[in-house]
Amino acid sequence: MPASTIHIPRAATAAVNGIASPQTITVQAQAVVQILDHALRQSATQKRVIGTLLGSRSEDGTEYEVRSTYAVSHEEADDRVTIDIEGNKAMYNLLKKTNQGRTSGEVILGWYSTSSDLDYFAGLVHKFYSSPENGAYPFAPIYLSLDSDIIASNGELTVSTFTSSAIGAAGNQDAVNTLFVPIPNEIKYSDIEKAGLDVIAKAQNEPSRSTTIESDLQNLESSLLQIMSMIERVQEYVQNVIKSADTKNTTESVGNVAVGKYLLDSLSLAPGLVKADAIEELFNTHLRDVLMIVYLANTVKTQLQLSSRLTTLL
Amino acid sequence: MDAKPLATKVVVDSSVVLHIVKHASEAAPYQACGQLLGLDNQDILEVTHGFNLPVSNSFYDSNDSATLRTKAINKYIGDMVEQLKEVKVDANTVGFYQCTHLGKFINHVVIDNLYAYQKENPEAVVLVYDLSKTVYASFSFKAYRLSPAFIAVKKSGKFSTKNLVEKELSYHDILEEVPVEIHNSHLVTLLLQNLSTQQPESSFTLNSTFNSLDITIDPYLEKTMESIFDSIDDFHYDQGNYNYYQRQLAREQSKISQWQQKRKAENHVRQQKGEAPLPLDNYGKLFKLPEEPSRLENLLISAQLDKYCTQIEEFGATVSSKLFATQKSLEA
Repeated sequence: MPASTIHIPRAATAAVNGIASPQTITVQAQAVVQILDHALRQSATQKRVIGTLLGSRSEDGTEYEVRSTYAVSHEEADDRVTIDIEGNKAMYNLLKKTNQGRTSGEVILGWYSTSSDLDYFAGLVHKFYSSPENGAYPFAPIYLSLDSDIIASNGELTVSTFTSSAIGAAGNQDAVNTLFVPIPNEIKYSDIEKAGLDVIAKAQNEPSRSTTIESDLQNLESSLLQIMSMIERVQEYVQNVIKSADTKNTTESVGNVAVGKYLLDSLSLAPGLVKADAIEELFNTHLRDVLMIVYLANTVKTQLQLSSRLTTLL
Repeated sequence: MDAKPLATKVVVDSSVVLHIVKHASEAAPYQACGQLLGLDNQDILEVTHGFNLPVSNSFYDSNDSATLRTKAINKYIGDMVEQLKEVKVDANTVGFYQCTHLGKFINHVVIDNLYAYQKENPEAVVLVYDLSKTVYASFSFKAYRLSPAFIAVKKSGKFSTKNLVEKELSYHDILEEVPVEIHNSHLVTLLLQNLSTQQPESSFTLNSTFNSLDITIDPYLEKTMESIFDSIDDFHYDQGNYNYYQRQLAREQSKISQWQQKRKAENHVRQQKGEAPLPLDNYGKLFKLPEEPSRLENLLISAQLDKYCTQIEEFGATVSSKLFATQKSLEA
């Protein structure tokens, strides 16, 4: 191969040391929030902040899951970059300690930055994360960029993930000769994290950006209200379809007839219970159980009160 | 304690909330805890960062005197804070978080550690996240602080009945709950807005799952009942100890009064003979009153039991209304 041609391997085959490179990346919502938190601590003179991505790989190395991150301090000057290597190592070792004995040990997957520029600097840092001492070696590191400069990006927060391929003549492993190959990513959460996210999401429309945690009853109420408004919306849609069908007004279509019919069917669905008596019976016993337990709890409480009063009397 | 009033509200950053949620679900079924960093902003306590503490799984089962103040953990905290300072995280300790199951957190470990934290920073709080409750009922995230009365008694070193009455401490007010608010940064708000306007086929939807409409209630009630039984057993054991002490005390006291009676009779005789009477109150040399056992155990168990019961009451209220509603909708 003449030295003047550029050889760009496809991402799928861009293997480092014969190990498959990532095909899909899932990012836990928590990791994204952590990165944003770090972005807030960026000083005015810094163009970006960087940090390390932790998570797990699937056995064949094609699926990556970013589960948490930690910040790494660095300095940029002209064409040089100083990364706090010791800090990076120390942090990883510290975090490893708390993961002891867990099957889901998190390893370094790559790095993130809060700028979407794929520049010389990114190449340098990427090289750092592929080195055997500091990074994801022998796997290819991944790079996650989340542009915190929201004015430039029109208020869009986009998470992009990349892996790298070396380009250029073989043997010339200069940092700049890196091609960042985009990989599709997805933001995910587990069921349990969902509960936390729900609470956080409640604050999204508040001007104060804050929310309090509701009690069980309040929670139930808001859920019911939400369901009711959803049912209303569906009813409205069905009504609109019926109306437009009556007036034969096809030009100003307010809804699809097929969708309307389907929704009407769903609305009139009732739980098909054959033995209503049995269900009733079940409900009643259940209710009695609950009331019994509540009564018992009340009794215990009263006893406690009594006991504490009596002992202090002595 | 300084004169400045303590923060009346804890504002927790969303990243900390998610961190705790993640740590808890990873550590399950064990308990987990970690350090909280943040700022003390007049009457608001801001929690802006949290990290896990290296605590072994057997930590909570091992013994009563387990503490987070060991050398290894202190060193870990020191190292970690040093690293976090580098990246401009607020390096001010504001307490710790505790992941728990079904409201079980009022024990020696948590109380002792909270006391230690509050000694260093009176503002310190413990954030309690209840994983099981989140699964079975609703998201449970609360902040507590030891009450001044409890600290006063703890400082005096003795949990005697006399002390408790003097300082007006009962099991109700060991802990003070501090209201929690969850706060999003502008960037997180933006992220959430972006995500919720995304296409429906995206797997990331922030629509409510309507978890609170679920009517599977048995596991929660069952487990809470089990915990109540356990606590009642503990309570009984402790009560037994106390009763033993009271019987012992009564026996000694009756011995003393017997002795005093005897002395009085003797003095009567001596008086008639014209001799000086013998003192009546130097029985301390002859009889030893038993030491009152610490009432701390009793306080903690009572507080825990009370917590369980309140939990059931709250749960019962929502569950019974849910059951009634379902029944009605089935009849219709």
